Amino acid sequence: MSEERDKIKKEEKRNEDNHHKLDLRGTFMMVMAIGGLMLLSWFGAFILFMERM
Amino acid sequence: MSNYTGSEIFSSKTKVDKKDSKLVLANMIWVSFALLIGGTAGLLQTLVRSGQFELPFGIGYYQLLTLHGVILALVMTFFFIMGFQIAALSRTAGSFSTSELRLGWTGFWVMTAGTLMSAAMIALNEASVLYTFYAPLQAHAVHYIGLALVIVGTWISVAGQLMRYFRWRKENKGQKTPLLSYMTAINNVMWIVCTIGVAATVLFQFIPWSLGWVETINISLSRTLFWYFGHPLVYFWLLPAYMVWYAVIPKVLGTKGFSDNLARLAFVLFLFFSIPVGIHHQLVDPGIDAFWKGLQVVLTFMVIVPSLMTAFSMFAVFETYGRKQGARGLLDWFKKLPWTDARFVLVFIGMLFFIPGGLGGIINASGQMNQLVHNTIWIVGHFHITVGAPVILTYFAAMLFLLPHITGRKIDKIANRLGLFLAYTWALGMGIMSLAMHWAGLRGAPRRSTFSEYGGADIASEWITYQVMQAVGGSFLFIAIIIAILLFLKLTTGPKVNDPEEFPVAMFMDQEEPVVKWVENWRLLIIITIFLILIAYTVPVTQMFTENIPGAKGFKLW
Repeated sequence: MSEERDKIKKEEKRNEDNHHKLDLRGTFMMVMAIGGLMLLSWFGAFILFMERM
Repeated sequence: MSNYTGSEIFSSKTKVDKKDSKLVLANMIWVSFALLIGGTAGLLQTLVRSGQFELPFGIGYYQLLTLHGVILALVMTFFFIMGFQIAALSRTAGSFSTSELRLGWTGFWVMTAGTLMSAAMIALNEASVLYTFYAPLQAHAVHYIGLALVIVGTWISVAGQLMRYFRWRKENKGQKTPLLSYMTAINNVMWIVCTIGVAATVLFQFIPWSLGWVETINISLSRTLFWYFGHPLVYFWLLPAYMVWYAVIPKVLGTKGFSDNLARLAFVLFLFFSIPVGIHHQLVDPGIDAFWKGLQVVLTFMVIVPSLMTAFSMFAVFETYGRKQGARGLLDWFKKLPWTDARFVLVFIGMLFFIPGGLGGIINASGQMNQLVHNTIWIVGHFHITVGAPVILTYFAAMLFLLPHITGRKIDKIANRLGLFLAYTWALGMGIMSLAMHWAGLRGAPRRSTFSEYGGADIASEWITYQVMQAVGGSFLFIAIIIAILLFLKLTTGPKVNDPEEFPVAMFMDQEEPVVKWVENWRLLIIITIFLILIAYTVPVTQMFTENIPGAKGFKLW
C-alpha cells in the first residue's frame, strides 16, 4: 500500500516538473498580449512618424 | 575554502562566506551613498525644469545633470553589480580564495579612488559634460582619468570573480556550473569585451585631448566607441536583475524555476546581441553609412528574443505557482502570488515597468522612426522605466535579502513593510514622471536642457504642465529614496540572529537534465561574440579613419 502511494507521489512529482504537462494557458495569453501591445505601440508611433514627414 | 555542489547550492543553510560578505557590504555602502546623492540631484533637476525653482550657491543645472548621471548610472550600478555578483558566486560556487578576494578589494579601492577624483571635478564645475561625456564638450583631464579608474577597478574585481568561476569548473569537472555563477560569468565576459571601447576612447582620445597634447578630437569615432560600450552597459545593469528574476524569485515563491537551460540560452543571446548594436544610439549621426545603421537595427531587434524568453519563463513560474495554490481560471493565478512579500512585490512592479520600457525601446531603435523621439525627453522617460524601475527595484529586492544575510539579521515585519512602501512610492513617482517625459517628448520637448520658455514659443508652453508633473513624480521618488535608506539602515542594524535571512537560490524543473554543452563552451561563445562585433563595426569604424573627418577643438559651455 505504502509502496503504491510512494509510486503515485513520485509520478505526481515527475508531472509537476514536466514542461509538457504544465497548464500554461495564462502564460500563453500574457505573452501574446505583450506581442499585441508591441504591435500597437509600434504602429502608433509609426503613424505619428508618417504624419510628421 | 568551500566548494558547493549538488543540493548544497540550493540549501537555505548555505551562506555567503563571512570574509566575502565584508567586501559585499563595502560595495553596498557605496550604493546607498550614491543613491542618496544621485536621487537628490534628480529631484533638484525636476524642480528646476518645472520653472518654479532656481538652484542656489551658483550650482549649474548641467553640473547637477552630470552628477546625477555619473553617480547613478555608473557609480551606484557598478558597486551594486560587483557586490551582488561576488555574493552570488560565494553563495553558489563557494568562498573566494585569498587572491580572488584580494582582487575584489583592490578593484573596490580603485573604483573608490576613481569615483572621488571624478566627483571632485564635478563638484568644482570642471566636468559638466554629462555622463556620456559628449565631445566636443571638454572636461578636466582628472574627470576622465577618474572614470577610467572606475572602469579599471571593475576589471580587477571582475578578474577575481572570473577566477572564482573557473576554479569551480576546474574542481568539479563535467558538472553543471551553478546557474547564478554561470550568469555572473556571462555578464563579466560581456563587460570586458564592451569596456574596451570606452577605454580606447578615454585613453587615446579624451585624456590626450583634455591634457592639451592634441588639439582636436574625432567626434564620430569618440561617439561610436562610447556607444559600443554604452549599449551593453544597459545589459550590464540589467543582467544582475535577470539573475534575481530567474534564479531567486522562484525560491521566494517556494517553487521551481521554469528551465535552467532556457535561462542559460537567454544569457548567451544577451552576450551575442548586446554589443554589436551601439550604433542604434547614433541613428541620426552623420558619417555612418545607412547600411551599417540598418544592420545594427536588425541586430538590436535580436535582443527581443531573449527578452520574450524571459517574459515567458517568469509568467510560467507565476502561473505554475498559482495553480499549485489552487487557481483554476485563465488568469486567477495572479491573485495567488505573495502580494505581502516585499521581495516579490519590488521585483514584480519592476517587471511591469519593463513591458512599456521594452516597447519604447523597439520604437527608439526602429531606424528612421528614431527621428520621432531622438534627443527628446521621451528617451529620458524610456531609460527611467528600464534602468530606473525594473533594474533598480530588483536591486532593492536583492538588497532586502542580501543585507540581512551578510550581516546576520532577518527581514522583520517593519523591514518588509518599508520594502512594500518603497515599491509603491517608487512606482507612483516613476509612473508619473516617466509618463510625463514620454508625452512631452512626443510633443518635441528636448532632453539635456534646463528650463526655458524658448522666447515664448507656443510649442514650449505645451511642455510646462508635463514638466510640473515630472517634478511631482521626482518628489515621490525622493521620498522613496528616503524610505530605501531607512530600510537599508533597518536591515543592517539591530540584534543579530542565529539563523540569518536566506539568500534564496531556486532549483529548476529541468534541474536533473544535463546542460546544453555549447553554452558552457567559452571559446565558442567569445568567438561568436567577437565575430558579430567585427561584422557590425569593422567598416563604419574604418571609415572614421579614412574619410578625413575634421577634428573638433574642446568647448566649455557652462
